[in-house]
Amino acid sequence: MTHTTFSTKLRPIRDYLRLRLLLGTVLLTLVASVLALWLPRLLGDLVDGLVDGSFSKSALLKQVGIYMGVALIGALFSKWMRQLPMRWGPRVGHQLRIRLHRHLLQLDENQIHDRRVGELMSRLQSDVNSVADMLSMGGQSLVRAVFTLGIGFTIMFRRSPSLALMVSLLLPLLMFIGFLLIHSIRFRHLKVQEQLGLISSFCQESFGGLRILRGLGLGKIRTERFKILNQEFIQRNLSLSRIEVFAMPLIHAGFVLGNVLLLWMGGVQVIRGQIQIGMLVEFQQYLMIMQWPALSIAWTLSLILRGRASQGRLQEILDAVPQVTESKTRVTSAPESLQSIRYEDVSLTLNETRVLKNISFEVQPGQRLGITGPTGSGKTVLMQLLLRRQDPDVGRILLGGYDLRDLSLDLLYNQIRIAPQEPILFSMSLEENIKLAEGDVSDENLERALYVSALDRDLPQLAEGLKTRIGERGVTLSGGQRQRCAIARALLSKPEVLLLDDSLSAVDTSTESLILERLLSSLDRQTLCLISHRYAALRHCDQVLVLRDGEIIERGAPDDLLEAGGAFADLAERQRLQAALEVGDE
Amino acid sequence: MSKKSTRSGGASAPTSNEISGNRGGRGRPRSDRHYLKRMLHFAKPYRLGLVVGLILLLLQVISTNVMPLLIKKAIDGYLSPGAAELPEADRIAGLKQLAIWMGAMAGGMFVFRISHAYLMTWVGQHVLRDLRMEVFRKVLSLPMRRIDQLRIGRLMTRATSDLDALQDLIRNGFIGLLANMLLLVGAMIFIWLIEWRLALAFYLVIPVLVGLLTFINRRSRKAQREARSAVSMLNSSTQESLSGLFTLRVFNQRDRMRERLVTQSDEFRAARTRVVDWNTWHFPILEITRAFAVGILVLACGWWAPAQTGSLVAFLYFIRYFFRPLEELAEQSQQLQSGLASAERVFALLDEEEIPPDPEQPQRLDHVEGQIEFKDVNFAYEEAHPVLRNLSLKIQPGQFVAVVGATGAGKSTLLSLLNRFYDVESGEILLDGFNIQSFTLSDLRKHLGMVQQDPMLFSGTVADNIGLGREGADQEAIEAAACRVNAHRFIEKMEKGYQTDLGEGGYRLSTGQKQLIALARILLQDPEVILMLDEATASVDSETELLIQEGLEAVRNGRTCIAIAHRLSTIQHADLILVMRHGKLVEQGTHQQLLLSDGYYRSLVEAMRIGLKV
Repeated sequence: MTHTTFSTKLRPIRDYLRLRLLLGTVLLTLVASVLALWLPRLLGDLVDGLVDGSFSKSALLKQVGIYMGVALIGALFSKWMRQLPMRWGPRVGHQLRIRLHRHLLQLDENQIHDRRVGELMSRLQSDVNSVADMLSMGGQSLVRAVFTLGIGFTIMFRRSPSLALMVSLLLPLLMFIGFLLIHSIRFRHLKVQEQLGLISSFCQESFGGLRILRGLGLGKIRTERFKILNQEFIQRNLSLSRIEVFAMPLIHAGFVLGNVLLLWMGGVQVIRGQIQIGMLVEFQQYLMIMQWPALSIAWTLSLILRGRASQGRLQEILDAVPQVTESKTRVTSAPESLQSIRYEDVSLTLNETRVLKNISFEVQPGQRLGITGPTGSGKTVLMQLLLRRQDPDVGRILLGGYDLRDLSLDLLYNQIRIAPQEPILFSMSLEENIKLAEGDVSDENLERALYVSALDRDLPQLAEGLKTRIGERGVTLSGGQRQRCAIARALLSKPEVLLLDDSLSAVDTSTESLILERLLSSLDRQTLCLISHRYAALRHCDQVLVLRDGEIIERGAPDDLLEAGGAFADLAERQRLQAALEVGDE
Repeated sequence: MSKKSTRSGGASAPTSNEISGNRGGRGRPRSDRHYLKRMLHFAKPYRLGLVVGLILLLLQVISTNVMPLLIKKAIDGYLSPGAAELPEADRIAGLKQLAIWMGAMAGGMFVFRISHAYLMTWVGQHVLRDLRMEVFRKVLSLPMRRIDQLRIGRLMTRATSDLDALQDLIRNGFIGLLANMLLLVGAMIFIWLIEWRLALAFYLVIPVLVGLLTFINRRSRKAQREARSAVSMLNSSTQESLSGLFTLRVFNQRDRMRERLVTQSDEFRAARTRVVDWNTWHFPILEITRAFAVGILVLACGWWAPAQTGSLVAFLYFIRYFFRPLEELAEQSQQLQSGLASAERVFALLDEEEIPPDPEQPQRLDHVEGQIEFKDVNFAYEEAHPVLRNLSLKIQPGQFVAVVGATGAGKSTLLSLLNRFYDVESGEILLDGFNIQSFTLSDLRKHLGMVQQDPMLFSGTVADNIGLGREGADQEAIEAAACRVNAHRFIEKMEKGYQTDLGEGGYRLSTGQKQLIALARILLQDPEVILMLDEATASVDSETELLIQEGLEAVRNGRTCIAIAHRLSTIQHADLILVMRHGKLVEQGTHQQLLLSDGYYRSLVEAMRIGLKV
């Protein structure tokens, strides 16, 4: 395992900027803007030439050729001017994700659960995107707006100050309108989304609670209420629409108005012989070219605002620091295998609840320990402490005589394997899932693991056997199959300590006893810890702990406990009766 | 559902469960025109709006296209060298006149455009609302068995994302497409009127632009699909890595997962980069085709109509009205495709068979005595697995009946058949001597009260939820009901009492409290027969349990009651105990009688004694 240092600062934005890229963008934009803004002049001259008939056909051809040539080169630059900075977005996104993933993978599971996976997922997507958008789209449109407007106004004022003045009054007005619209659209859009959420949860509730609805004969009332929700949805949509429908027409109207003003003011100048018609055409083209960059400023601002907020949220993720860490003087190799377990007065508090209270016990190498107790009594937590899912608040845990905190995580995890009740399978092939931790596995070992977990019986039913892909894009395994897969995974490397955390709960009784039988005979000198509710499993243990509310209430060999007649004896009796009832039920 | 039997051969054909458009066995889905027609059917109530919208659209087309004509007139009439004979003052006055006209036209264009857009949103939203209501109503009237097959998740997709896609279809696919076609055709006609030879030169641009845009749109969409699939792989890996963090750690797999994430993130980056590469062609292509259009125009003008300066300028002005619709059309024609796929799914749902209608002349049911009889009832959820077999039983009015048996014995099915969530396959169920299928569903259910396993409450206030029991129940009745089931006390303690909101993000009730509210609801409903699917759940503390027990007593009071019972204390006091096993009634009688007979019941009781839930 690599030992990453936790430099938890998100790199400042300027770290993602590359000078070459910045210069490139500026240069390309400069050329593209100049070329684009050259076209109106060329067109104006063409029109003037046509008006006074001064062009020969060949001259006309040549002029048009130049016009199209400039346009073509301009279009190519316009493409590159966009492509260069826009490509940067995916790249920044990628870099951010790598960084966030690396950090998240170092955290403890408890920290992830605090933040909830769903929320984290949405941050990883939308926040990363908006930071990337801010840098790529925002940067691109900002640079472009600056150049197009700057160069454009310079040219215009040099060509005709009076017409330029008119245009320069109009554009800020359009910008301002654009800014107002973007804000109010965004607000109303959120309102629409909110109502859509209500509609969708109303559907969920109604479809899911259909039996109750029918039982109470509520179909009509629900439909009525759904209608009301829809009515409100329409209202909100229309309220959004009342602003939204203005956006494009208003911009367009501004443009048309500009043209009318141009024609009028410019027209008067043409009539007075101050300018030629070509100049009118030229300015009309300027207006067209400069309209969008002007409007994009408002949009760029909102991109930047959003991007900054997202940046802050991503930083929060990076601020979390893992709690389970390795000590500097860690033990990386042990002379002999680590098989004995010893809990010394261990206590743990989670979310202000004491989940474990003064737990002490000892397991000798090769012994089998059974743990049982009602749901929420602390069994799983107790077992997971051995894997340092978290460290106890009080007391210590020894493995092979070493305090867990002194062992390197590598060494620790090489000694112990766990098969949890709700195993995580990854979307890879079944074989890869089983071989998760082990690179090279002999066929013999793999077969043994498949045999013990009774997965060998399932393989023929899977289309591609061991190569069958598991998960979202593949086969969905049953709960029992998943658990058995986890058992095979845990057994594969013949660990010194094997932990089974209720890992047969979803397996049917007959398969369970088969697996237990195979498992127990395949273990030689390994230590086994077994959480189970079933007497049939627990009775094979050397020692059984019964937990309740984080405390050990009974301990001893199964037979002794049966005799003592406590909670364990009750459990056994109950299951004996249940088995008796179920005979013939299969 | 009948499809099922015809498919007998295909053992594991999952499609039989899906809402698919492929009816009639042929592989081809129905034609697009079919779905367009059905969409139009939904638009029928708003045809006035559509007609007005069309008129507004035409006005918009006209006002938009008149503008360049006015420009032509201004240039030819007052600005071009040809107009030099007129006195300067007249020319300025004429120009002013035209400018005012143009301003008016711009205003008209603005108004028509906005009102058209707003009206079309209005129509579109209403059509969509009707569709959504129809989908909702449909789901509410599907047979329970079909709901089980279709799964809530898929129904939700129909009601949400498919309808969203339909919204896009209506807005962009139909309304936008039509508007842009008309705008384009309008512009084509008007420029033809100005100067047909220039117009011809201009038309050349259309196929070029549409072709180029369609090409890059297609490429971009392909890249977008790749990006979507890359991001969903990345997301599921991320999800896995976050929820499997502990597993990854103890199996020393964090580095490997990190590498995998880096690879997938990089694939996503590459796909996004391809999207960028294609998308950034869009504007340059517009720029270059526009420039070519201008070039061709100028050339054509120079060749054929050198004197027509006004026409040339007007044409330059028209470019805008030409390009915007073209650009949007290239996009919208593709949205049409994806929208229709959703339309197909939504209409397939609307074609689903509903619960059989109530009998034409239903048996009236004003009051129920409570005599219930099952005669030779057979039932199966899936053909191969019969749940109830030749079940016959009789319950007298006012009896308290406990149904006992192991899990899967068919206890809850018994109750589900009685209130007709499912209908029997053969045999019949009688209520007060009449077949329950002879009543209307609502009549029948009005007289049957259901105590559910999972007390589900709906969003709304506490009072709303209790009030669901009887339409128009007043606060007093609601409180009285709550009092009788011990719910009043804790409701009063809540800050807003009966007006406490239970919706999303609202007040969180404990399971026990939910139970009590559900009981109050039933008390208000005041049915003659109570079907009790479960007793108090295990997840409540003993104090609440006692409250619920008392509440149940209050609900049961004097009514005929069939309860699925797990608790010996309840079963002992039953007037009749029905012992079920494998869908059959194996024993019946009172507690004492059954104990004496020393059969299956006896072993059940033994199991219950030690607290085993059977």
